[in-house]
Amino acid sequence: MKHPELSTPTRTLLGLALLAGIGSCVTPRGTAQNTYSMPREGVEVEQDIGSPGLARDLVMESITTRRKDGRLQVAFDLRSTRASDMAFEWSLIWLDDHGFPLPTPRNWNPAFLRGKGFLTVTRTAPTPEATGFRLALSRPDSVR
Amino acid sequence: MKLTRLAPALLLLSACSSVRYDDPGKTETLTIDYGSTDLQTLAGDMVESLVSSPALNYLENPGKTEDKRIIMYVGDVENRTSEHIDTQAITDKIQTQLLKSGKFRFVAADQGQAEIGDQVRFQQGSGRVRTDMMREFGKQLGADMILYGTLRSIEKRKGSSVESGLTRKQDVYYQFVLRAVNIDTGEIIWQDEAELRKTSSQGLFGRI
Repeated sequence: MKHPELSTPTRTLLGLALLAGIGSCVTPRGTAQNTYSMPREGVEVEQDIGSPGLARDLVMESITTRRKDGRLQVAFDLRSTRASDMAFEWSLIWLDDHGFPLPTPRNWNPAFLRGKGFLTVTRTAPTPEATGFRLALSRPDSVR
Repeated sequence: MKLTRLAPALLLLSACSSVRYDDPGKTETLTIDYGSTDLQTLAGDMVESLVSSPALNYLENPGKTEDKRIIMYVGDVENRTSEHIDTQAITDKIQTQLLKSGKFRFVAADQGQAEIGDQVRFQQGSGRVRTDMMREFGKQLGADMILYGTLRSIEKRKGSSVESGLTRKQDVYYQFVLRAVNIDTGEIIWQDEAELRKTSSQGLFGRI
């Protein structure tokens, strides 16, 4: 279909503009994030559901904790309820006795799960002061 | 306004660029090459293993008093990948996290020793420092163990073909091996490896 006012150079320019727009101005996607907190060494887990979709797709289960050489060690499964493969990111924040985050590095770990698969996460607190942790889950949101 | 006049403006507007600050812990998949997420993941995995290893809790040494924590010297990580990687960034990150963990004690490596040497020579030779405050050589702690390792990669590329749906594929596998060896005996007391796999698919019009 031809527009009566569009000459060939104009259409070329418009096409270039569209391509440039697609290529250069991709803004990062805002992703909702869910957190699961365990302030003390009990097994009571507080959930902060930012994304109901993520909460439906990923379930945290089989949470166990122990003290090993004076440090809190935690293990849990992240199970996918989806039949298809899924990618997500997780991050742990260690908390002290008062629930304050400890100054430990916080980076997002990329993870991939097959349909209905699970990932076992085992982590040891980097400092003996840690008495709880907070798990944050997010859809993939990488710098790309 | 005719579209012919509008088109250059659209081109300028759409070819915009932006700079902003972002979360340093955010995953990065800008290219398949070694990046910040790989550094964080490899270092994090090793710290986790080192901190939770009971074999590295304490080591006796006649020179030690009550504090029996292992005194570590952080050596080099040999880069056997095809990329230019500053492997000292890995050891620095590991050392920072281990130091914060309180599990180990560390002695200065090459850069620190050079600085110490300069400073002690300055204190003793410049005539500017009080004699009762002069530091001297011969009082440093001796390391119990050395931490060193190797970073390797295996890379594979597959060109675009009809079979692959005209996409180019690339796969990189990183293996990071780190070990702690007893300086006295040469015995490897601890060793672990961390692995990473990254894949990239690129279609005719960009990454998929």
